[in-house]
Amino acid sequence: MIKFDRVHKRYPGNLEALQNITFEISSGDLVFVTGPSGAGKSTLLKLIAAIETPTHGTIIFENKNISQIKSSAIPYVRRKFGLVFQDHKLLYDRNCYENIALPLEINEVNGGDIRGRVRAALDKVGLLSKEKLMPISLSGGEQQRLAIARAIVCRPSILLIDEPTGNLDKKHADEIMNLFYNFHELGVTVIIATHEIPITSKKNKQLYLEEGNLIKITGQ
Amino acid sequence: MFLIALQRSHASLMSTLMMFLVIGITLILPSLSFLVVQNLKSFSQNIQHESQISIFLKKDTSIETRNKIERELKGRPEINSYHFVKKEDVWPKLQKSLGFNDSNHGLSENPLPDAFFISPNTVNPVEISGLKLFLDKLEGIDQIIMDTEWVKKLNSILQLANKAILLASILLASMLTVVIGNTIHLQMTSHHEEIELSKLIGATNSFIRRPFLYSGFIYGLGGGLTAAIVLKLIVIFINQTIVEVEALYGTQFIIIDLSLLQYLLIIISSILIAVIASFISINQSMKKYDIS
Repeated sequence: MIKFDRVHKRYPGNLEALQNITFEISSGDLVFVTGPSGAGKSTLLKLIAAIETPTHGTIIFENKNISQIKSSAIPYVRRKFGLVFQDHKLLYDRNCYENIALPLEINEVNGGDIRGRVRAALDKVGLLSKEKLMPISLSGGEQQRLAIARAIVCRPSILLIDEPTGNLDKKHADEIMNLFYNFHELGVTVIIATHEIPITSKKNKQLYLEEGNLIKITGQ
Repeated sequence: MFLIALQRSHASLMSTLMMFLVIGITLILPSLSFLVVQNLKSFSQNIQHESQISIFLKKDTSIETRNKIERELKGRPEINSYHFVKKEDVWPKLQKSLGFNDSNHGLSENPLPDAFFISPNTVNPVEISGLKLFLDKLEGIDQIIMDTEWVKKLNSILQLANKAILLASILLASMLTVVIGNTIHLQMTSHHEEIELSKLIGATNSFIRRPFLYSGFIYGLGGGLTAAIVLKLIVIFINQTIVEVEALYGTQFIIIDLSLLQYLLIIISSILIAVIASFISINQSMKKYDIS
């Protein structure tokens, strides 16, 4: 499903974010991308989602080389992923409902279907009663769940999650992780970048990065 | 999408109304000047029939030559009407007006020439020059006096005014482009988080452009309507004032309003300027959000 072949990513200023990365992820995998801060975890997720392009190497997604894709085709690749960002990237001038509806509008989902799908996504993360509230009035854990609802509302086959539990206490972190495990059990490929793997984790694959190098792959 | 643009306009109602006013007033300036020129043109066309060309014949011109001149005048399309005045008919009137009488007439003979007085049906400088050239070549004519000169001058001034209005319109349109473009740029800046997020989760450039283009459309429509309504009110107000003056002084003049098509043209121009300005501004701003 996703294949990295000798991928390099260098940022301006000769900063090597990733070097010679090669791995494969199959459909339905639960993958943890781990490593210390600055190891290149977020860059790896951005490369998968076609938010960044590699300096060298090839990234194959669904049998297509997305490292050499035309810029006009990039949005359509990005739509295949559900993205949960480290800083949530919620829109604070829109209520919860409107935040969740945005990806559906981008995907040109029929206006009549949007309401049902937004409510279903909010229900899945336990925020149905708060659809009219503004994100600022939600707790940190609720904001994270809102960001997850936005990621799943288009029913993507792959979820890319960046540091989902970084700012949460253990109880809320477990709740969030359980949500991801549930999606994984439904057949969704879940890729989580985190500096530490929760003890409660299910059977998974791990990519361990350090200073931009893929040090080891476990659980293959 | 259009709904989003409407919601945004409604959310910042005051600034949207201000924008309508800025566009409206900017468009009123050239439109009002155009209206003034149109009225002056119509005024000059009304008085052109009152203008006259006087042809004084040589004293020794024979009747045959005079008849020939008359035939030639009949055949000219630029001539609306003409009449001939015999010197013998005018001489007694002149004497009377100067206070001469038979015993004290002061002049031994009639000094006046026979004359044709022509009312042309045009004040077009080229046609009038052509007519004058033709008259100059006719035998038996001593002097031609054109009193269409001032109408010609007025027409030249009006043509100049038209060009000045066109130039001013281009300048004002450029100014509007900058103002609207800057407003759209500010709007995009205030929605930069939404734009960035939308790009990250798969929005195309056209999806991002659309609400801002609609905002530009709304500004253009609102501004155009403001200009049209205010212009109409100005015309109504002036005409009402003229009616009052008419009652006092008995003048007969009324401001000719713009046609419905011209009002529509103002609104369409406003929309076009606003949409083009928005498009340019959006494309410039979008470069910032080129994520990959």
